[in-house]
Amino acid sequence: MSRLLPFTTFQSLVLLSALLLAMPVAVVVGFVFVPSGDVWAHLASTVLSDYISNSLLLMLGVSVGTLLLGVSTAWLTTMCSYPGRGIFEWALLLPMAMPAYIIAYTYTGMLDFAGPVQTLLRDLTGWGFGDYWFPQIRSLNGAVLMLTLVLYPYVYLLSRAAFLNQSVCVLDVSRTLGNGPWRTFFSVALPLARPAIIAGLSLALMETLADYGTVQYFGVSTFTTGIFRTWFGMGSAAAAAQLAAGLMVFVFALIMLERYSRRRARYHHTSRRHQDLRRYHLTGGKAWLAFSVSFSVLLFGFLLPASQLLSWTVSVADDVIDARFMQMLFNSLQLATLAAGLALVLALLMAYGQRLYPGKAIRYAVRVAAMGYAVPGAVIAVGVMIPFAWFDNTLDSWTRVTFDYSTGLLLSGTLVAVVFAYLCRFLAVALQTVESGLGRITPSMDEAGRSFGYRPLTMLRSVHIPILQGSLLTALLLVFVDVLKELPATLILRPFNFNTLAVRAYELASDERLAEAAPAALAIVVAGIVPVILLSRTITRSRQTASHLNDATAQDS
Amino acid sequence: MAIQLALNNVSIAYGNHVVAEQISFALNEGEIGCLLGPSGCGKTSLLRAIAGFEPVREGGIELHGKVVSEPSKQLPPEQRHIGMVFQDFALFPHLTVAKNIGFGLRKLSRQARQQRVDELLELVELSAARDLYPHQLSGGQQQRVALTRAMAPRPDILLLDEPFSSMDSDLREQLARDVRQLLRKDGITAILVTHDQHEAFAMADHIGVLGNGRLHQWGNGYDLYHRPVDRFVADFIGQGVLIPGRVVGNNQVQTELGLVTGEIDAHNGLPTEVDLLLRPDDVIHDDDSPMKAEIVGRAFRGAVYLYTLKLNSGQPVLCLVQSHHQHDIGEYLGIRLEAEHLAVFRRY
Amino acid sequence: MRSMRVFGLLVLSLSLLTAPILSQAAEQVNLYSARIEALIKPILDRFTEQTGIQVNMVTGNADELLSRLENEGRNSPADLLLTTDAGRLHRAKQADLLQAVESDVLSQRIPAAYRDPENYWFGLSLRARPIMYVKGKVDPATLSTYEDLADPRWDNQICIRSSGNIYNQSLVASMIAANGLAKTEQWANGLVSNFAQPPRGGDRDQIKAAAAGRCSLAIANTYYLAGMLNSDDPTEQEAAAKMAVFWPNQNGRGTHVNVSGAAVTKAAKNRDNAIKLMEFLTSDEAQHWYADVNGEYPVVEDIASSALLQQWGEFKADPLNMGILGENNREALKLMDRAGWQ
Repeated sequence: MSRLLPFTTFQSLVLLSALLLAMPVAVVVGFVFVPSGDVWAHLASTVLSDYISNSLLLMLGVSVGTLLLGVSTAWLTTMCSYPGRGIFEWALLLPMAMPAYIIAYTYTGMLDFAGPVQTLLRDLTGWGFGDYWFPQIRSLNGAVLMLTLVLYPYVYLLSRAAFLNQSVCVLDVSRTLGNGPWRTFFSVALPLARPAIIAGLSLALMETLADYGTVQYFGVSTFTTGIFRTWFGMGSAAAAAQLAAGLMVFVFALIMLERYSRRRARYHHTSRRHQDLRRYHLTGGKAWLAFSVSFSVLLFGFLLPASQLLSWTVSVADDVIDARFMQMLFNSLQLATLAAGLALVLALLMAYGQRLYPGKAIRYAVRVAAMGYAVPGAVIAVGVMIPFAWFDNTLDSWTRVTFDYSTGLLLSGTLVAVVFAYLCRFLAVALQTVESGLGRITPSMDEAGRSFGYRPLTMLRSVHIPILQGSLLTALLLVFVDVLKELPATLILRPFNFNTLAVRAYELASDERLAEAAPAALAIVVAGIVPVILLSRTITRSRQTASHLNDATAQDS
Repeated sequence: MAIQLALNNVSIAYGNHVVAEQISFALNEGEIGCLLGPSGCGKTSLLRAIAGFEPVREGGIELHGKVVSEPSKQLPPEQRHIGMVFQDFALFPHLTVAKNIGFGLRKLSRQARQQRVDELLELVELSAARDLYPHQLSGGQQQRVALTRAMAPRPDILLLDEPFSSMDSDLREQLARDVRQLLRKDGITAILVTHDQHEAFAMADHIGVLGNGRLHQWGNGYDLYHRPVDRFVADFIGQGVLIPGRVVGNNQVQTELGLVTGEIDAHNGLPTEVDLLLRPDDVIHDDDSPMKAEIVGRAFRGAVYLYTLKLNSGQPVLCLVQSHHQHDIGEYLGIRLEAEHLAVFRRY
Repeated sequence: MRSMRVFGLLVLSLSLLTAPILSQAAEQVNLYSARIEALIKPILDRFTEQTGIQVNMVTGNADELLSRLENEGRNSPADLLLTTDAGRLHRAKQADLLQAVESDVLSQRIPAAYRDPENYWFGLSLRARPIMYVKGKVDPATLSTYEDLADPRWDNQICIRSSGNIYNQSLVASMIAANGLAKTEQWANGLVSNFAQPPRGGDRDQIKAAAAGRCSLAIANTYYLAGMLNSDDPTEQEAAAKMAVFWPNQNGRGTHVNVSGAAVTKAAKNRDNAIKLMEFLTSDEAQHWYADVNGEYPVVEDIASSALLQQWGEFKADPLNMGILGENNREALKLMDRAGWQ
């Protein structure tokens, strides 16, 4: 076969789609070269240090919080047996369906100075303002708490999958070498699950950095609120994009640092034999403690805010739930399904491209494409809008001159632009999941397949996809839930008269009409529950698949 | 010598499924024991019970003079001071060779730990690999790391769960002998679980044959081979056939091959109608013998041929003959019997 | 094979997505609205009923809509831009996204201060930002002007939302116009030091905090107070009932107001319909609707405001042209940054 290009067709396809998805990020970074006047000098001398320190503190807090909640609950539901474990196993994923700004509104409604909790406290004690201390929910700490409560499921999800797939033998060895369950957890199980935990954490942190709704409502000046303040307040889109570019460089550096730190260690399990997972049977105080930990996380992350939403919904249901509401629900589901499917195909393509052709060009293109997750949705949306509008207008000018026919805007203002923005933003979610799934397949399987003369696509279809089923479904469902919640890109790129649940919930909530916003928010949560439960079942099943797989390879060797 | 490990009437069960029943045996300090049996015989469960991963249903396990398992309570594995080597080695993929070996030494000072690791690495000739990760090692090297890791904290007893099963079969016996030497040098008490009798013979001082959750016999290799206590052991260990016979005196059995004389190991009294175990080496090729049998099969074993012969009654017997004696299938071979011990089992 | 089928389905769905979404009604007008759908749709439906002109709408953040308009250029489908403040209309005009409109109806009904001198945009409703005080806790006689709020005697008594909010930006912009940059900065420093809490939440939250005792004064737009009084939620009603409105600067330039407004885009293809819609929004019916439903003040002079709004009394509004608010907005934000107004 003659090679005119330095890449094969497959490589070119991977590279092309990665570059296409990296385009909005590149557009945003491109603003670095647009002069933005004195804005930077002003920012640097006034608020920039606040933005940076608040963002770092927020990240630190959310890291600690999501690791603590996510890893501990994952370990409990995987390795221990205690009352309610079977329910917690899937229920602990539910907060994922809750948009962060919605949970922020509900908690503010409950805990603010004027809210029912403090009012009750005052009524009971006769205290007035200033007589007592009460934690301020609308603060940096509050924002950390809110984001932790909705983002820990990413850590939970991925670390649970890792715990489920780890070799029991390795844990046993540690115990025979004198380590108790706790030390075994910290010195073996945790380090082995590290890539998965880090993957979950980085998803949570990227979402944290991209969050605007929560921090803005809580009055915390972060890098992201700074981006919008600069854009909206000073009318300086360039300076805003430059801030966003700074954010991306920061995230990129973090990711590279983590990859460097584990450059030589491998996390493929050396064990080939899977024994049945025998859970620690907890009794008495320990069982009670495990139950309370799991239940509190579920209570604060889901039950409380969901019941607040429900009570608001009941109070306004008649006025709000009508045919247009059903149309919005349908729109949301349709977009989420489509985007999830496409994100999966692209993630598979890229993860696979990197695995087969570990070259720098593909690797960096894919990394840049995946950066979109850390960028606030509205910024990505502008990054999509600019090249799309440029393409449309250029084509239009050409056809006007050549054929005296105006094509108008072909792509701008269509759902294509909306879905494309989703893909740019959520590729990382699908990619992380698919990559961690691929990481569990040993390289020798690839080599075996190729030694039989399988071409890459044949390998993908006949070997990897069947093995990866669980990871693929996980990726699909994660993107689905994320798109259901997505707001800014939908808002700015959508066609006329096209509404989604998230748009409805946000518009009303931002006008401080929390009760009216509740039905749409609740519908998002409910629509997210089904995939979340499916997700959990997939992961539980994945262990069985993995052990069949390992039995098969053990026989072969 | 002090008893290092003792099992007293140990039974293990999962729900209603009993996997090991009334097992008793003991190992002295520095001895190497082996639990030998086909897969599913309960040997791994016993090993895991000794390690503390499985509770016992009945009986007790004593380690170093201390009860560690009984139905009412069991000491967790980490408090038993044992070492364990798993079938698949279970090396920690995120740690280097040196850190894998030093994993169980956290109670030592940094310096002492390093010294012990260095000493062990030298012993197993892996000093050059100290900073490599497990995935960078060959199978044999991984096996040595797993063994060394388990030996490092000088455990009271070392438990080996089919440690050679993933090795090439021609390497196994050699490795088993190497490991035995290593354990001997350090005076480590060990117990091995395997389904391969050659491994067991190469490594162990005492071997227990397990079948269907029962310990059939506890003894050394010679005894298991020549003095099996029941049909199961006779069948599982080595090769041989059972031919019908009749006990005619204190040390004589009348068979189709004539009167055989030897010490009879009588179990459960001495019945009259018996089956006599004939090992291939009990049947001697002798051209002068009046006893002839037809050759129906032969297998080349290097120094010897293993012939399958058919007696007049159709009863097969096995015979080992030096390989420079070539006989073809269909020929008749002169044979005679020569046995020190006669293993006989009641015929039903 | 199965993956190929999935791929085929995806391609099919994508091609459906690019199909024209708009039904080809004979008469239509396309709207980019910064006002949320729930607060504009009912009156737009009335317009369609009366004229038969279909209104297509995209709602969103004003600056994002401006970005979209700018990038779409001459092919933009938008005919009319609707915002909730004058600053953005001014910004759109500066960016050359609008066109001037000659309409006798608009010129006659809308006072000059509330529309662009060159008729690029028109105000449609007034949004006043007075001082609200806790009844019984503050003697209204002690209140006078916005400027007075920087006085140390109000230490730890003022609730106001973040400087990221456009209403605060335009309030400060109006003060820069009245008092100059240096004096306004001095004022902002004083005001910030009187904050009872770091700015957080929206205008309703400031009112609730004051009602609950956290501060004595809240600065908020009146329609939020009206919304709370009309709320289904009894705790909101209760909190709002504790508050009274004080109209500051009545002896001087008047209370700060902003407008919600509209402008015809430069790329408009349904220009006449867009103008018709704007004219409709200044009609008596629409102006009453703004007052009754949204709690905003009519921009047309002789329209009576709702009974609810009337209870707070008549007031004199700052006659500053809205365009100035837009011009000063950037300086206002930088000034607030320097003053440490979060």
